[in-house]
Amino acid sequence: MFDSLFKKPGVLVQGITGSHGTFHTAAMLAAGTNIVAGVTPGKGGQTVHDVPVYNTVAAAMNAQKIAISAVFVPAPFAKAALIEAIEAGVKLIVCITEHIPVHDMLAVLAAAKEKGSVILGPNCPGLLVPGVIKLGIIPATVGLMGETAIVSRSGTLTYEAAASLSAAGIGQRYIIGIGGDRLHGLSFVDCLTAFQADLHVARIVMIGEIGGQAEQQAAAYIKAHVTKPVYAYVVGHSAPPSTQLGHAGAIMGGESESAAAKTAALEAVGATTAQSLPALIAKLSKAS
Amino acid sequence: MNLLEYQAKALLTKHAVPVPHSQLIRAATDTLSLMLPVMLKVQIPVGGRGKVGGIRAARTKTEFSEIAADLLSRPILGYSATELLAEELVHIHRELYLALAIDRDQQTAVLMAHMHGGVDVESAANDSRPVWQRTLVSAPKKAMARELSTYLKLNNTQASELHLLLKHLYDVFIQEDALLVEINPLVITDSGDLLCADAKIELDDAASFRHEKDWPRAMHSQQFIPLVDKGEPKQSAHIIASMANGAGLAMATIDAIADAGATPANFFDVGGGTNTTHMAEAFATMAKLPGVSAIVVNIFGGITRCDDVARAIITARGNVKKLPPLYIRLTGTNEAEGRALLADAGIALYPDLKACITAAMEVRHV
Repeated sequence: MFDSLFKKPGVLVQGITGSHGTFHTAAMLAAGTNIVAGVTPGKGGQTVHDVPVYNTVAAAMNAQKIAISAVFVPAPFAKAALIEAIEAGVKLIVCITEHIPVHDMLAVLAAAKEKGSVILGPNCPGLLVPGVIKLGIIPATVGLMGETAIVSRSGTLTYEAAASLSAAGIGQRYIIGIGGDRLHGLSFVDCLTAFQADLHVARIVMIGEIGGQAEQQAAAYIKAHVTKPVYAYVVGHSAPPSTQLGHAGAIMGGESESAAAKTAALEAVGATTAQSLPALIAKLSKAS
Repeated sequence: MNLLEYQAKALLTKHAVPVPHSQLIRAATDTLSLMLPVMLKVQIPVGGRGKVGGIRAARTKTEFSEIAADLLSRPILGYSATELLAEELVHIHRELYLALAIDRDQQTAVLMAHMHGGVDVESAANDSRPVWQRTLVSAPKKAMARELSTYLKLNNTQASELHLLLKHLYDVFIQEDALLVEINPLVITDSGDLLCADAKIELDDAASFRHEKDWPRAMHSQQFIPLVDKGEPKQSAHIIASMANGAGLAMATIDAIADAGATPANFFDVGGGTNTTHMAEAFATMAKLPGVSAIVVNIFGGITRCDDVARAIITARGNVKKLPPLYIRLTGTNEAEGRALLADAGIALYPDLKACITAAMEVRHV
């Protein structure tokens, strides 16, 4: 699924003239990302860090070869921006924007499914392939080229995991934050599928959270399909039940949604687990 | 945002969903405009109030004043209510369960129903008794209403009432940006009518930008969550408050505090953008939590920029009285600029979270 990331794909930044869009366009360019266009309605004809800005995704697609869009559009306008990218045929859409209403995402995900677009996020830090490409806001400094694949629901814990591994001299092939919202596109299972198939991935680090059943689904997938070592940490051991802890998705319903139950499910299928991220990294370092 | 029952019923009424006649009571001296007897229902944001005396019948004016005074004077399930809902007595023939919700795994809206509504529906759902569930991509059609009517064993008149009810509930769900519209119980009255006797509605906070005028003011902010309270006995010698950027990191921070043998005092996700006012308010709230001996600040900047955080910390620190000592870890985007600002202000930094917590636990608790 991620093969195209290594072929210098053309990247579009939606919301490029906004403060976050402009700041992170510079950071993505510095990390080697081939940004060929930006879109902000009404700002067509301008440039941002020498990247040409267009009024619509369709206009940008006509003028440039684009495979991926990184979306920094504010939440009230995100649904329209995402649907515009889907309808223009963008294959991979990385949505950084947080606080997109759930009913908007229902419509976006249904449209993406119909048109065959993959959405990473929303409310996610994006994706970093150290030394190759950065899509989103993961600081490039946390990465080191190597063979570990990281997937996490939390943005900041994604950075934390990568930085700790790099400090221990263990490099990464992929660093992916899938986002903390109730509804999101790319899932743990999608990432595990790609990691298992990728010959350059030697081991997998997975960081889950309380709430929902995504970790249980990942555990079932690991049991059936994953032969590579999996290291897993589920955050939220101290979380009180039925309280939403920041992430819209991190609200613990039944007992099966607790950190303890999810950790047990992952351990039962052979994943190495720990009660904290430093403890998990220590176990991984010892084994590598 | 979870609505209180009376707020939920106001939204239902707005969309022509039938609810019992009611009156909001704020004091025992309020004049009752409903016919006696009435049910008095305490307005708190959690379920289970009926089992602990939070719903009681008043048959006379004297009873009404006594019960109202009692329910408004003491905490119920940990919440001190400022409102009661007085409702006409409903003559219940049957209790059903109905809900519109978001199915996270299927990424669709769903309509759920249960033959047996009432207080124990959650445990009933764990039985093997069937729960009726269908995916919703648009307003419920006549055929779906008919199918549900058969499952719920409704007569023809009730079946047409149900179709109308479902359409109105769908309007609430979509137009009000609700994540959950739960009617439990949906009552069939002795006279055969459908009536929503209790309702739980959760609105999507993210959609507040398009509901500024018509939504009730948020009752319980969920961003700052205290985990210790004055009533509880002290669990450990070290009670540590914390803030982090990102929900995951904030959760990992309280996990690490608990793992180290201290008590986490709160959950606080400072969010992506850094707002000095929010940070100062959070510091002030932390300083007031019982027994807090230290504050751990754990920042890994991505979209958050370390220099913004540093400026906010410096300003906030100056504005909050009796602030417990800060143990700060700051890394990520614009780290060098952030570190320089804090160094100039004479604020120490720690290399990682573990070092922060270790140092925080060396503070002798007074």
